[in-house]
Amino acid sequence: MNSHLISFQLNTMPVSVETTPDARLIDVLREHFRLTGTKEGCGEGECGACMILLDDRPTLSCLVAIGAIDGKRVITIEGLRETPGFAILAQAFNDAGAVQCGYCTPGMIMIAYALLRDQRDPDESSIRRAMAGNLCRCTGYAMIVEAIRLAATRRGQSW
Amino acid sequence: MVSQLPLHPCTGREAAAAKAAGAVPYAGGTDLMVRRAAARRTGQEPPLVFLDRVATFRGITALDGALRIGSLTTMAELCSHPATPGLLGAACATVGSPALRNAATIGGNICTASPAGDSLPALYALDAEVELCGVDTNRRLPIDRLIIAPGQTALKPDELLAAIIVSTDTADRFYYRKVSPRLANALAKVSLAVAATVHDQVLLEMRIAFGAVGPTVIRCSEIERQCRNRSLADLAQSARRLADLAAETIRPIDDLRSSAAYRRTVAGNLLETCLHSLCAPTT
Amino acid sequence: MNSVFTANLDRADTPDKCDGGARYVHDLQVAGMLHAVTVRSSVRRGTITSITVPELPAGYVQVSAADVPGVNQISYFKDPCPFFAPGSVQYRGEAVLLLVGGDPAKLHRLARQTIIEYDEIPAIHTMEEALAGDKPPIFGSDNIYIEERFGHGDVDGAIARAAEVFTTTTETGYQDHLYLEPQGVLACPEVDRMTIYVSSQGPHAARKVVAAALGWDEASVRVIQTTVGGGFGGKIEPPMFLAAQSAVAAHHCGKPVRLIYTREEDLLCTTKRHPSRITVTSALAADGSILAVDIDSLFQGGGYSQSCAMVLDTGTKKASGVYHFPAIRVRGRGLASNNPMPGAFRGFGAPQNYFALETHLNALARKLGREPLEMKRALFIKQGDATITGGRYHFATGLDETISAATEAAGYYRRRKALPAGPSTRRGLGQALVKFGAPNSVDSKISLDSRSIGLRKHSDGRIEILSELVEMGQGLHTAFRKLVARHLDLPVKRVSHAPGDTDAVPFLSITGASMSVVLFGATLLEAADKLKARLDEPGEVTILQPARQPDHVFWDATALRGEPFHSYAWGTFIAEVEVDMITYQVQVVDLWVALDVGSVIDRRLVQGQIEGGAVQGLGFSLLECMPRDGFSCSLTDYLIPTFLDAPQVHGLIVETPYPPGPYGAKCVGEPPLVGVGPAIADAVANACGVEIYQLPITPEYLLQRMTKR
Repeated sequence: MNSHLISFQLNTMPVSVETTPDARLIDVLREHFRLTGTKEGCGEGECGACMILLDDRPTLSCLVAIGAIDGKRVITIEGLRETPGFAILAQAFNDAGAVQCGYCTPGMIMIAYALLRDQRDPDESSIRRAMAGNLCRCTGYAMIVEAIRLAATRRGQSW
Repeated sequence: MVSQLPLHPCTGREAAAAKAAGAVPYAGGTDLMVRRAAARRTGQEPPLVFLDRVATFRGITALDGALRIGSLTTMAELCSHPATPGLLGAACATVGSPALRNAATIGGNICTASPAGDSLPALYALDAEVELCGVDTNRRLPIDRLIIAPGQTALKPDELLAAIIVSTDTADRFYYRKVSPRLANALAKVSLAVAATVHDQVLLEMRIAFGAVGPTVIRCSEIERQCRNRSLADLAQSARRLADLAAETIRPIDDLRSSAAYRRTVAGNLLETCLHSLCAPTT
Repeated sequence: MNSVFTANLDRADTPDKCDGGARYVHDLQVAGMLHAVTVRSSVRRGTITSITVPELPAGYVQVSAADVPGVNQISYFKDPCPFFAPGSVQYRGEAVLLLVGGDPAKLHRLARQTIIEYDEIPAIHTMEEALAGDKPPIFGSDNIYIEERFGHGDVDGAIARAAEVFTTTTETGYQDHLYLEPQGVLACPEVDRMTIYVSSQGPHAARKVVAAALGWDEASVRVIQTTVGGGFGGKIEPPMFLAAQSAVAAHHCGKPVRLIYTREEDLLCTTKRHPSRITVTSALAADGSILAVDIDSLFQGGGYSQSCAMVLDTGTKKASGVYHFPAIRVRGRGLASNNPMPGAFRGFGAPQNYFALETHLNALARKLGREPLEMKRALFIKQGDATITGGRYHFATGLDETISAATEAAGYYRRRKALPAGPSTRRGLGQALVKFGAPNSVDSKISLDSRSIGLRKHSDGRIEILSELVEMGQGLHTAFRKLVARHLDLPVKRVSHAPGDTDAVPFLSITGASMSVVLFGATLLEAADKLKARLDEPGEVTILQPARQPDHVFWDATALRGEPFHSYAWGTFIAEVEVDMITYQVQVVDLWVALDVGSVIDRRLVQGQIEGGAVQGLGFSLLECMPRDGFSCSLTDYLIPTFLDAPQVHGLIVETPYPPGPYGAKCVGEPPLVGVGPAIADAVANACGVEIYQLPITPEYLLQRMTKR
């Protein structure tokens, strides 16, 4: 496939990349922009480790061709970590013991951020449904649920 | 030359022309990107054409007694849109995971033509039609004429799925259940979508569609005929017999994901449960 | 007793893991780095007759068995275990060669164009075929990698005299570790040296393997441990293969080579839990009491033995469960096959054996109409009893306390006969009891002096733990920091953990088998005792403390006599399930896991191990399935539990201190997984009225059982 210039907004900055339009967004983020906080766990949309926000919606970056994001907005964990909401989530993940090996964690935090943006105080069942596409093999999930509930109680007006 | 065609066409005709020239249409990407993964690594795949700027493929619009659902409508949009028929909304809510539903489109789910496609039994039970957009002509087909075999549709090389038309004024009761090996983010082993019209304790009409138990979705027209114009009490009496008939109608196979025996039994159980729930007195 | 450790400690690695800053091996890039793609066997068994690689562009090379300067053998193992197929292949997915170059897409294209031809040899697909001997053997003359027998008393006599003989056969399948981070290595050649960055459970073991592969002395190889995205035993063996292959490639090219697996490759060719078939026979007296038990345990290994012998050995030694039977015979065999390669996995042979024994006893109790826990109680091991290898249970057992904790929390006795059934659902409660021995004893003739753990006091007063034991998510480094700070009476922020780097930390051990805290934690405290006297010395002080087995342990590995394990964690598992009678799907509603962990070092970490282990056990019990002779190479088909599948796990901690352990601590890494399967199976049996003899309990299996009834 021929190369094209694809322009989009990445973590609030306008960027362009010359690439074949079928390149995966995850590869462009990791290899071209060196944003390695977005992890590849499966490459088939089954694990959620590559979660980013595309026009504010949680999206699996391993299933997105770069041509599809021309003119759109992408936020990765490296962008999210500048926000007050991230600080509250990270502290809650720490306090609840929600982080073990950490490979799923950035993806978990990305989708948790979007969940708490859309629902001020989700109950356990809403959290579990919203997170059902993010796999964790270490924690058994309860501590991650607890972290999100904790973040909901501490969020104030931060996002 | 394909490379001369626009990467992001703005009209259905332009998009159809790109497809006719060999480009692969990209809607939500969720299935396409998995299938292309191996080939993508070798850089040997045909180019993509991105459909997201084709305005006529977007949006949900009310027609007279019907709904036009643009093929690029995502599963998440369908789940939250107030006009979405309940049966279709319930089916779309079982597709993959929340993030997947943010990207996956109804058009993609149809054109993938998987026997286990989650929206398909609901669309069959709603007697949905599809609107196809070609370079020169547009046409309409019933959904069961579009999907002809696993992974195969009746789309011509220069045709794209533009929209889905579902009637909004027929069925007033529905049943949907997807049976998958895991509670979230898993493919169907059996699914059942039923739309029914009940008036004065009589079932006027019922449409029954099973997913993942044959090469394409299976409508049970003989059972539908037997159910028509029967009282609910009478129907409840016959539920097990009709369920057994369903188990004979479907054509399940043994595969990695389940067994034919399991699919047959569970398909029958689902229809029996469905009939009992439709016949239960509403409060 | 309550532990001296009251507060939880924040893990040092959490901030970087949250914000994406933690560096996993896939995140590393160095100048001039090349990529490697593996070309694999497409057949299960055969002799390679030809390999045709397309003409390679400049800067691209192939690397195979012929290019290995040292030995083409994973030197960690004694039995043959080549890292490049040595002219023949034993399983589908076995690495034949690497293609190395700058552009991954080009490499994949070249790999696809590479043609390997074989003279196929009839593959051994099943354990029956392995034992039948009609196909050419894979290993020795009988396909048996290992056979072990333990026991005491006259089992045959008891069976001959028995009023009744009761037999059950249980089967379990493959389970993949499914660590979220796929395998990966980066090998960087330097002048007369090779540095390996690897996600593994043992940097020194990887160094030994790489040195042997290159034919170098070990000092010329440096292994740097990267952040590990989950291990569970799956980063013991496979990283050795990747490290050896990429080191040979990097040496060959003179450039850094990175080898990262896709999930598809990882599922295809890395190790898994051994499938098993275990027959348990009990000889019963007229009153139903057990006179003797005979256990015949078969484990399906792969085309090379790898750690089959270790897994079979520890599993077989655990096969007698929490019981002291009047007579017992345990026979374990690990068999060769040409199926996907099994290896080390959390539980190490115990989940299969506990499923067999507990299922047997639970089925027997149902058959006899007895309350299973009361029936089992008559046979419990007591302090001072003999082990099946002639050693002793030296210390207090916490089993009764775990039973009390779990049955009370679950309302087990009150509720088990009175669970409500819905219009189309049935409920059941089930239980299982386990003990988990750890560490596995080493032959007492072998000195552990060459293995050590250390502490360094820096001149600014900081204390650094020098240990190769790997933090793979379980929280080990946090536990070690707490132990050292407490022992030295220093604030824990003064204590840090040195990075895993073979240049910086001494050889100690693979991280696994639940031994790190209970054994090496104690060694670490011995180091701290020595350092304590020298804390006020100016400048830097380094203490290296050799490991040793505790005084009560004697083990003769030739005769298989003595203490098989140093210590025992005890546990009670209770599962409550709801079975959907329309779909035959089992949902675990609640899971109570009561564990005697000795003493708690960090309650939050212990809970994390219990909850995570239990849910991994739930996956093994209900979901995780690969055809026994086949493959699922996609997460679309290999399903692990999601947020919605995981039940409420109630971790109940019992503390029966183990005096030789650090502050009384025993192990906690593996035990939470091992009793989940039999507890769920018992609950399903109670709900549905059919015995369950297979894991995972798929709806298809349950339907089949209920139809046969």
